[in-house]
Amino acid sequence: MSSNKIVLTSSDGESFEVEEVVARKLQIVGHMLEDDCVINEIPLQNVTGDILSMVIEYCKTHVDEEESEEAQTKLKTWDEEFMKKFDIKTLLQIILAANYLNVKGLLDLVSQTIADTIKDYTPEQIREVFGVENDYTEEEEAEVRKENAWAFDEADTPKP
Amino acid sequence: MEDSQPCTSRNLDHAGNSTTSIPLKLTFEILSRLPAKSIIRFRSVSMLWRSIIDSKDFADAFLTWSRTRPRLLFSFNHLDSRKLFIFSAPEHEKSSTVVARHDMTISNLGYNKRYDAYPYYITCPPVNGLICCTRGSSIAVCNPTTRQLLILPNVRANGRVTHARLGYDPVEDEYKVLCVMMMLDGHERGRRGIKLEQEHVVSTLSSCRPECWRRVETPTGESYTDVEGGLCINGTIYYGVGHNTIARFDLRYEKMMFIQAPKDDDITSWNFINHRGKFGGIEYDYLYDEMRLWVQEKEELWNNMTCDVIQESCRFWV
Repeated sequence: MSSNKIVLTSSDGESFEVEEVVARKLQIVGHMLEDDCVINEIPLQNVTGDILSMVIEYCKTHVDEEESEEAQTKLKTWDEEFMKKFDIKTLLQIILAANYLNVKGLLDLVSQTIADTIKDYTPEQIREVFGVENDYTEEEEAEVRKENAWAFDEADTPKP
Repeated sequence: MEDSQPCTSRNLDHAGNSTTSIPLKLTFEILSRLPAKSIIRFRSVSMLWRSIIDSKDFADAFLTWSRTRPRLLFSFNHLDSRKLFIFSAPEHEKSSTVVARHDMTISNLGYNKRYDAYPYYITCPPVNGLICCTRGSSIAVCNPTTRQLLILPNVRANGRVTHARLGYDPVEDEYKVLCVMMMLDGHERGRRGIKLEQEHVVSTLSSCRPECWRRVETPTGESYTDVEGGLCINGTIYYGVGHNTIARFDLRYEKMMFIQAPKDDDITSWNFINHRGKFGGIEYDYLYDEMRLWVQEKEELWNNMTCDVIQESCRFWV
């Protein structure tokens, strides 16, 4: 393992010193390092310090991805516990960061966690959390809801 | 994907909003991992969300994701009410008990008065989660995941029995239904040399316009008396047409041909299977407690493998 250290700086000026192998898990950093090997401080404009620290925590844990089933199961359990810490707003910040920093494993993990979290939301809750503007007219919305009325039933079975 | 731009900012469509706006690419990614019921409910979030969900790209992404979580589909026919109940259950559940979900009920649609007394029947295995069901000359394809039912135009059965088989052509990305029509008393007519009035027609599924049925010619023009089983593998529909012949219908070119079953083997006892993309069948020999797997390697080349079946599994025959 390389002992070379890289400093990552967040948009709000927080700095994190990490091993190069950990920093390379952020593909955006990996590409920068390939272009110029002497970089040792990287500013990351689109991610705040609190979110970046979580991404780094994920990358540190996933730095040695072993093939063995036991190691995989352990990592999976860690992922589940890690995701439990965050509310939906934070998860959305993490997905933006994972996308910007290009951390594939985290992007998959957080996408699935968000899906699991919002699956029982109402359309109104979705609009609020995702910041989506409702551009339907009242009539149009009523029509769409009518088309898909069964999806609003709490029960999981169709009406006889 | 509608949005191929790098998604690096939070200011996509709804700048100025205090909540985080998620780029389309990520919205798509999250939505495709949701259960169908949630996805369908979220069509009412906004026009943009509805357009993502209704897009072909999204349906493809959902299907890819959904293949990693296979479900067992099964149905019950309630003859008195002429209703068909479709259920599903997760195939790889960790727990020892699995709860089946009632996905859809297909009831008497009154589409053709003549067949009001008939229930719907499912006669071939599901294809990518879609089920083909028939009732007289009325043929429908349903999607239990979205609870949608697409009724195809009636075939001109003229008193004949209809056998419908659903298939998917991966090259043209199209679903088609092949329908074989023939007189019910085929054996008797065949023996006495009376015409079976057999006809093959095919229709492409389309959600926007009803497709008419196109006639398909068979290579020799000869008729057969039975239609047994059915399976779609890689753009080809297979079904048995007697003791040792298998019909093979190429969905892309809409061409029918017949292949010979392995010599001296009676395929009427076969359960058709897809063995790593090749057509095959499994048969049980209860006399010798054997199970045999046949796989068609090439045109006339069949491989087989036999294994012993433990006595307990055959006990119900005693």
